[in-house]
Amino acid sequence: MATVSQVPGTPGARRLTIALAGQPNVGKSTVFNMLTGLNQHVGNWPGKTVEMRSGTLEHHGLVLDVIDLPGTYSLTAASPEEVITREYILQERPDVVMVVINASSVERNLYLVTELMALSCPLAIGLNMMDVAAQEGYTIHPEVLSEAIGVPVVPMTAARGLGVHEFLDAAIEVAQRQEPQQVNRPEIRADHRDVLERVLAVIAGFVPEPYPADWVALKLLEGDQQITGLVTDWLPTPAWEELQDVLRAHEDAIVAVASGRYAWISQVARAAMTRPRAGHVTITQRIDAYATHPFWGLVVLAVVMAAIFGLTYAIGGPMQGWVDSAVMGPLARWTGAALAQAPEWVRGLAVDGIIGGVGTMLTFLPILVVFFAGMGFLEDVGYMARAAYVMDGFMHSIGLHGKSFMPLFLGFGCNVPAIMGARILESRRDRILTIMLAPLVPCTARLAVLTVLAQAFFPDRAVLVTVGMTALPLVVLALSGIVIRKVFLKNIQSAFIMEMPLYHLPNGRTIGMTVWQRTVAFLKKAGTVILAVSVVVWALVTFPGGDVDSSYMAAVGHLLEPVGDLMGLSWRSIVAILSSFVAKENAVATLSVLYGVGEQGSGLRSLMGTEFTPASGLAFLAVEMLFIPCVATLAVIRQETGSWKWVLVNVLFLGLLALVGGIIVYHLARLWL
Amino acid sequence: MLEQLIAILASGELATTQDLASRLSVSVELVEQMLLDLERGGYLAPVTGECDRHCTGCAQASSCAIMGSRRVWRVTDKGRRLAGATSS
Repeated sequence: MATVSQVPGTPGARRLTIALAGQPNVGKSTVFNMLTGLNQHVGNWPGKTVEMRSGTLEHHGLVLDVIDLPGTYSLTAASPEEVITREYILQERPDVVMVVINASSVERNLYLVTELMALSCPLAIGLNMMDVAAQEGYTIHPEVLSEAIGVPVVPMTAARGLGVHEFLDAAIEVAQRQEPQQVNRPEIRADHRDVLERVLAVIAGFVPEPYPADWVALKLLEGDQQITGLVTDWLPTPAWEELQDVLRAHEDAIVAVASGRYAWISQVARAAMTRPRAGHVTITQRIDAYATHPFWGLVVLAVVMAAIFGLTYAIGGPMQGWVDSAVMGPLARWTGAALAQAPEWVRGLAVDGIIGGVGTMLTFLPILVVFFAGMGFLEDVGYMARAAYVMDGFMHSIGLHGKSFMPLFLGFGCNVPAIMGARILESRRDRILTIMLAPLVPCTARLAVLTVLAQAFFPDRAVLVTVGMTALPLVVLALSGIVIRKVFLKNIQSAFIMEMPLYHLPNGRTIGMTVWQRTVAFLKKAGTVILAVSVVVWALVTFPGGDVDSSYMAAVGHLLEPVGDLMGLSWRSIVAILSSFVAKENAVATLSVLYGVGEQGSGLRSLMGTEFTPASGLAFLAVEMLFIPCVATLAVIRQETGSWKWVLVNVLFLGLLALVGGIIVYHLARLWL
Repeated sequence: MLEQLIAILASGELATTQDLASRLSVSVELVEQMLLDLERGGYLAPVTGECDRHCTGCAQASSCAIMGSRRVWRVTDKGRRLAGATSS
């Protein structure tokens, strides 16, 4: 088995080829560097852009050529690295493959070992990072592992130089054995053994060297495209057709092959390794015991959101007040004075239209920046995935199945991807229902408007109002879910699997980038959509007579008065809500323009008590949270449903919901406030 | 092992990789490898890349589940068929 060759100039010295394999980040490079020192050559694998490192060393009178194979998790031919690794081992037949595995992640690393065993190459295993495994509470018995696999296993801590030479000695011993290595390979699941035998029987005699026929058979059952392609060339047509028949009849054989592998891994790991005891729980597990608990998780979510809003108001509130009184107020007065000689409409446009609309919205930038930072923090530390998980549990408990989870989850960012996320639902009926409900998930823009107005209207109870108004559309969504469960989505089972990131310390740069991106997006919106709508609204409330009550807007607005009366809202408030159809933030800008906030320089806060009562203020917020989505979302609804009919249905559904919601909130609030 | 995982998925709940690892008594990393195998076989599909031109330049793209790094899979029809066959 071992190749023995003469090294020129070193009579009698034997030459062995050693390949180093392992998954990424297992310390393989450390081992390679320790073995070869400065005698390294770096190039590329032939025809590939993947780096190839090789080196030579002399050890106990032997000359060893060491090839550092690319780090791969498996050998499925899914990446160039995987193809290089398996092709090298098959074609070059190294005398031994030294596999470096991570002792703190034995199970995952054994996966690669199972694939290497299938290639029938001599193996030696270096169990690296023993120190890390011990710190994490693992107890591993290398001798048991070795016995279970049938391959030498050498414990190492390569970073401290421990065990590397013993690993090399063990590998050389394997390379020099004359008899083939007897390894305990995983077997295909019992119910598919006959299928494997049939495949082997069909390909027998057609598989050329150096490919092992049993490995080729396994790869065919796994649907490996590279091997299937090769076999197409090797097999005569009748045999190929017979093979196709077998493979087609057992298309789930990949599960049987993989299952055998996992059963083997689980068995070997259980025999050779003791996991951290129950007492040895990680920080993530400790936090998640509450953060992902069906009940406490919701409490944690409410507390976390309240804390974010509380912090937003505590830090951003005073800054907003300062920007309003020290910057925007004087700017409005200065602009008014500077344009004293200009035509009245020019002054009005600048002070009432632009400063009143966009300017007022911009005074809330400090609040939004703190809010964005808070949300960025939650995302960065890994909490948002838990929030989504807890919300799914809640939705599930009230009848909305996992099917709708993804679109709803996405809706918290923006309703546009939420509507598109509904594509993952197979049935058109489910898709349409989810699309109709998705706008009820409060998007960032809606939350921004809520954050701003709650602070302006209810400065003393802003956190309570914000949390309550965030919950309102979700409660409506939940109630809709119950109806939908009863009427439409009966017995629909579907599953999602989600990767939960580990909690980690926040990275200031990442959070800074999130805040920056969202702030820039907000400013862009302020400079375009909000500015345009503010100017249009200003024009409509100014012309033809220069007086709001005789303006074009008033003429239309008075028609809306009966609707507003039901919720204690003036026609101006209704117009502000309608303008949020273009972009949610316009609600704030339009309110400012309609009430001449810019001119008075007194901010939106002055509207409470004069234009709004606490009850009508709450009704305004409720309507804003339930109202039809922005135009971009409706455009996507048209695109995804392929019909204007569903856009109209959505507008009517949410319009009616907002009206009913506003009326209920107004009358309930009047009872208590 | 993989059959147990599929049986759990057949229950139709949202599962996290941590849940699955603890129910199968294996490491989270091994569950991730299993998910990759099931994805390779077409039993699971990653929920990614659904976003098109609407998301270009979106300020939330970095934190969005579609565009971001968070990984979510859904069970495909093929996966459901297998789960049904396994559980029956």
